[in-house]
Amino acid sequence: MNNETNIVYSITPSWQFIEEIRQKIRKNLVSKFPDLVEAIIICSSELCENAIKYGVSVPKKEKINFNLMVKDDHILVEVSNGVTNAEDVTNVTQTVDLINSGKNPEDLYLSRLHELMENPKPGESKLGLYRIAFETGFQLSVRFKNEVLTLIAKMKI
Amino acid sequence: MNEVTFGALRLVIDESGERTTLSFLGRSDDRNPSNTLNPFFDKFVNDLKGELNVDFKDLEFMNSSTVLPLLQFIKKLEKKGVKSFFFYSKDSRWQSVSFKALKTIADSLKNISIEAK
Repeated sequence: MNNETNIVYSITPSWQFIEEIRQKIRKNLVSKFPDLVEAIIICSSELCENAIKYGVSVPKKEKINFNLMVKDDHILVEVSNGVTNAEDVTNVTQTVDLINSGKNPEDLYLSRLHELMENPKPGESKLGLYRIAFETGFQLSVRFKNEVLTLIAKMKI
Repeated sequence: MNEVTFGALRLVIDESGERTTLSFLGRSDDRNPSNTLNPFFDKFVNDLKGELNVDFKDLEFMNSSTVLPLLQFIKKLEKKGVKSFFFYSKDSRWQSVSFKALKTIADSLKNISIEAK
C-alpha cells in the first residue's frame, strides 16, 4: 500500500481556512489512520490558529504555509509564517523548549490550566502547544530564520 | 428549549427535566470564543436555578481557545455552589483526552463533576 500523503497549502491568513484543513485531513487520512486522525487534526488546527493569530506578511513569507506529509514511518506537520515581533518568537521558542525539557506534558498542560483558572487574560489562552504535546503525542520543534517562524510537529507511526 | 448560536457552535438549553441541561453541539472553533461565551455564561449562571447537566457528547470539535471560557464557566458554577455534572463521550477519542485534564481540575472542586458517558 502506498503510505505517502501530502497536503500542502499556501494561504493568505483567514480563519475559515482552518476548517478547510480539518476537513481535508479527515477526508484523506481517516481510512488510513483511524486511530490517529483526531490527533493530526488537533495538531494541525492548533498550529494553523497560532500562525494566523501571530503571523504577519514578511518579504520571505508573505503567506502562511501548511504542509502535512505522511511518509513510511512518520507524520510531519510544518506550518510557517512571518513574524516581526521578537517577543512572539521568544515565547514560542521558550514554550517548545519547556515541552522538550523532559517534563511530563500532562503536568505542563494542567499547570497552564491552573494559571488560566486563577489569572485569566481575555483572549489569551496560549494553550495550543501544550495541548499538542499532551493530547496528540506529536514532538514539537521550532525554527526561526529571516523573520520566518516554522513550527514542526512529528509523530512516528 | 432555548438555543443560541455562536459561529459553528450551538448551545441548547433544556429546562424541562429535573436539572437544567446545557448541550454543546457543532464546533467551537472561533478565533476568540471568550468574547461570546463569557457573557453568555455570566448570564446563564446568574439566571440558573437548581442543578445543571452540561453535555458535550455531540460536540464535534473544540479548539484550545475554548478551554479558557470553559474554565471560567466552571469557576463561576463552583463559586455560586451549583451542583454541575459535565458529560463527555467515552466513544470520542479527542473528547476522552481533552476532558481528562478538565476532570483533573474539577476533581479538586466541591460542586463540579466531569464524567464520560
